[in-house]
Amino acid sequence: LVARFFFYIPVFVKHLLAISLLLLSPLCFASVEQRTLATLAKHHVWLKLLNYEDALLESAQSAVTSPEFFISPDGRHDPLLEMQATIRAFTSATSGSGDEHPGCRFPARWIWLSEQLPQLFAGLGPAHCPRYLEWTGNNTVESISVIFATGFLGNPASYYGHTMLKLNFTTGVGASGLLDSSLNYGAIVPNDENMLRYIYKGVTGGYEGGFSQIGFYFHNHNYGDNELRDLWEYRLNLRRAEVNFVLAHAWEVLGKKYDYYFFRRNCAFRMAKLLEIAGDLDLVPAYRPWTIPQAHVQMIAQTARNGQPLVSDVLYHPSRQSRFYGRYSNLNDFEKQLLARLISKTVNFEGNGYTSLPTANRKRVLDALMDYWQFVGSPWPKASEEIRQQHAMALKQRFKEPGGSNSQPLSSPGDPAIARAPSYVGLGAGFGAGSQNGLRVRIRPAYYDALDASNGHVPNASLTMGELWLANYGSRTTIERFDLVSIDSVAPGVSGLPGDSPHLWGLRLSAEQRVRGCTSCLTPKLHGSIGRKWNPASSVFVGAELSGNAQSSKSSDGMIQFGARASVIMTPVHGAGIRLLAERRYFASSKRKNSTLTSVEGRLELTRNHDLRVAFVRDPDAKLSREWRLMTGYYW
Amino acid sequence: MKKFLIAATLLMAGNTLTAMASDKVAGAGPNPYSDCGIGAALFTDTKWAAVTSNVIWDIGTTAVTSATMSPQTCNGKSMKVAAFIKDTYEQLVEETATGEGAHLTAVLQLAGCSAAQLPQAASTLRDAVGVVVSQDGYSAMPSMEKAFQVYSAVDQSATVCNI
Repeated sequence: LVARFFFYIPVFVKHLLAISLLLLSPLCFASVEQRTLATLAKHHVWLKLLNYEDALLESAQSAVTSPEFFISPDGRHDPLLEMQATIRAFTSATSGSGDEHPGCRFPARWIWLSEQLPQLFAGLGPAHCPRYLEWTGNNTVESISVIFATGFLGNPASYYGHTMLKLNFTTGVGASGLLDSSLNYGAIVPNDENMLRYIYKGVTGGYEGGFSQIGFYFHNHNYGDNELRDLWEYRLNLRRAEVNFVLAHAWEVLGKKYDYYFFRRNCAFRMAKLLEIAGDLDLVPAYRPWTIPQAHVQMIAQTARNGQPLVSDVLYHPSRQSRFYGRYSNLNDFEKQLLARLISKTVNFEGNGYTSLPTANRKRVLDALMDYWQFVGSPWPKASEEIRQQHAMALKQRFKEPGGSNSQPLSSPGDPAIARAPSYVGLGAGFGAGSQNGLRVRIRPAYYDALDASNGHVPNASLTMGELWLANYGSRTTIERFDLVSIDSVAPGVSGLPGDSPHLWGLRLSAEQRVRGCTSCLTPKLHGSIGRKWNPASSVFVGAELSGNAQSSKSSDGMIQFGARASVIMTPVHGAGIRLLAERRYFASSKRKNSTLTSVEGRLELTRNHDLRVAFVRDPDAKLSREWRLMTGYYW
Repeated sequence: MKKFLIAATLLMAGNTLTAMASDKVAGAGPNPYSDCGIGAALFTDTKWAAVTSNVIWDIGTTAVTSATMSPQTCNGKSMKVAAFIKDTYEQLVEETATGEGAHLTAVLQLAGCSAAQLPQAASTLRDAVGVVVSQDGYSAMPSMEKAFQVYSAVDQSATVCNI
């Protein structure tokens, strides 16, 4: 108690001095308000600190909806009133210590205002904030990283990846990075939410969102092992004062609520806004109604300040799937066969086929086997009892072998931050019968197709949303097709082991011309497909699928169609690819004649963000039965 | 209070767990899974459900700590170790089996081991966890019980680091 008494003496003296200065100084609060506050309240940093953002149909206001984020009752709508209330709270606080001190609740505001109004803050020492100090590891956060999680097809909100921040403590607290802290932004969604309701509310801002904080190991495990998503870490080259300012603002918004919007004001947007508080940074692509996480990390990677790149280091955190594929690829043929036999139980750990192997080889097989069971059992909380038993047996066997691993290091795939931009617009010409020649336009907000999958994407797969195809036939311009969402998923199936089959599935919700070349046959359609793939060579993909379509009953083609499709994709060199496609269509509920569509499309990457495509389509049953198409595209 | 009641109910029902709690090595620290009531707070399906929808809100060690920790018996370090084991269990145990890896290093760092002490602590931990996974019926054990036993192993192995 005596120690605490003496601790508070200097704090008390400081505040007494501050109050005296306020009373005696000619630059008292009232005069500051008149001369300076109106200008300061419009300063972009102050507006960023309050999270002021332009609204569509109303004047700018703070994106934070939690009342406790504001000191003034009108602070959400009036930055000047909030500044006055903040200064009043800072300068009139009776205690310099304690977590409820205004300077502890709003440390970034304190930092900035004390820089802008040094005379007013001259007598006020920084408040002592135990919880904030603990959160920053006693001021041992030395840098900040942006974490990018690659896309995840298990959840519509995660198709396009995810970003969060990682707070890197000084060496000794978390040398591996697992013990560093992470800041995440997400929507607050009730358990067991209906998927359609989830999508609707996510798109229209029906959910609240907010920042949360947890050890990085949690996300590393969740994304990497449960969702099988690679993580990329971009360590930022920020000065220590900038790190501290971002941290201080993060503390202010942690636990506060926002309105969550899936397309624009999402995780990537909020992370970028949080970082932009450091100053001189513009990390959100402007003038577009969506924020794609990969575009965010690409902007970060392309940003330089004072001649120095913003990103100082790039680290790769492979998922369980990537680790398994890496280990599997490093096995020799005999080890791969042994792995397959252990999985199929045609050999066990007591069998000669296993025990006769040298220790080093056994360890390599066991390490791959543990990865395999975790991979096929993913997400592990939902793994079957059989898989859990098999994993436990491999684990138990591994403990019987000596420690140490002689696995080769895993190679990392291409960095998503140096890939092409995620949105696409193409302009070209189509050549069919005479009256059908004309302009062709293709607009794709996101993300990739079978020929232009880049770093962070799944090769030979496609994932698009809101893609629009326009065609001009002489005097008429029409929508050829509009894909609300289109997915062609390709499971890599690198090992071909049970549970790792190279299967395909597709889903497309679209509106398209029932007959190619028609301008008045636009028909809503739901398309699904399932199949498998082969890779006869590393640069050759062969796929075979069965498909089904359901479409509007007004169509004369009937409501239901079936089909069989074969495709070959060859990518002989980086940036060049060709796709051959043949699709047999059966019109199950109409008298329309069954037919076969064939096409070939070639793509050449001219620069990272430019390409050239040539395509030929033959559809004997269509108005536009043959068409050549030449198109140049730009990624943005 | 509700979490305490749930934890107490679970612990009373879990005879094995309770028995292990009372069998802990003399001198070892309290085990958060049993002594601090962390089990029910950490091992809930709601957390998993929240994570799958990419939504994380007020979960993790902060919430658990404030809900269950007793300053006299359950310090922040033990809670952090317990949460780490629970959240990364599979990777941690696999790395313990191989005797190396970031998770193995991290958990021993959390438990108070310096870089110089890590090799010995890791070796001791490998032996102890090897016994845990070799038990009959290991794969069918509830997650909480597995984490409990590995926590005990970490706690014992790290005694060399806290002398």
